[in-house]
Amino acid sequence: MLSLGIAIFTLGTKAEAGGPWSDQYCDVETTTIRVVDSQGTVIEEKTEEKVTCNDGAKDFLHGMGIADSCQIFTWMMPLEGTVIRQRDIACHKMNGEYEIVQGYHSID
Amino acid sequence: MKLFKVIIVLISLLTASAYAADSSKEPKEIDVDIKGAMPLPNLLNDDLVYNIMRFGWRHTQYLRFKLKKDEKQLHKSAVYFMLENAPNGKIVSWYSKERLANGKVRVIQSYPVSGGHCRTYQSYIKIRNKEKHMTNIACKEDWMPGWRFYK
Repeated sequence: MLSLGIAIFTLGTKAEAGGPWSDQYCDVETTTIRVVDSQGTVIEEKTEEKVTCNDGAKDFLHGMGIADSCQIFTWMMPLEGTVIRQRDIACHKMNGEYEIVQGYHSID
Repeated sequence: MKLFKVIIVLISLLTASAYAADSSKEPKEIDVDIKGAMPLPNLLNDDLVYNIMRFGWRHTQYLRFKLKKDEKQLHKSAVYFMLENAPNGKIVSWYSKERLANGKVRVIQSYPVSGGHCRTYQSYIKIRNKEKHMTNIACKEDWMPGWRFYK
């Protein structure tokens, strides 16, 4: 009885896809499926490629005229003898200004 | 009649010089167009720009408003984001979800100092119909993390 083992390797590469985003958050995911017997001999090997994008939230912000990008930023703040790294999110709005997003502040 | 003309000329000269003195209070030597979405900043004395900044983050940054905890954090984040990331003149704003409160900050000018760099900036906070703004200086030394403030 042959025993089969399946190994899946996923490799990601970045893709430029145009549209409102010059640098889209799309990945080409490559999946390699290998079928091997108990001695480790490769019986079958096939590769599948699939493009996945996670621009949904960004497209919404851009489409609604709210912002063209959002970024997490950090800063160092001295407090009582120690330095604390703080984190927040700022969006670059369509009018060129930045806006701090409420509710996303955190401390390392 | 001649005396009358002389008096008129003198009055004109006095008026012109007074206007010139008053217009000197307007912003000058700044890096950006500061008109627009915020009030004109009060420019600080030129001597201050090379002073040693003494303070860390203080409550004076809230312009004597009674801000809620979230609003204080938003204002602080806006100031630090502006200092670290925003080019001169670019407005960084925040809005409260809970009430009519918002704030804006923008850098007016940036300049190097010995061992670091400084940025003069304007803060603005509006709570309902009340608004205040101030101009402040923040400096960062290369050997030390964090910003120090003039006030």
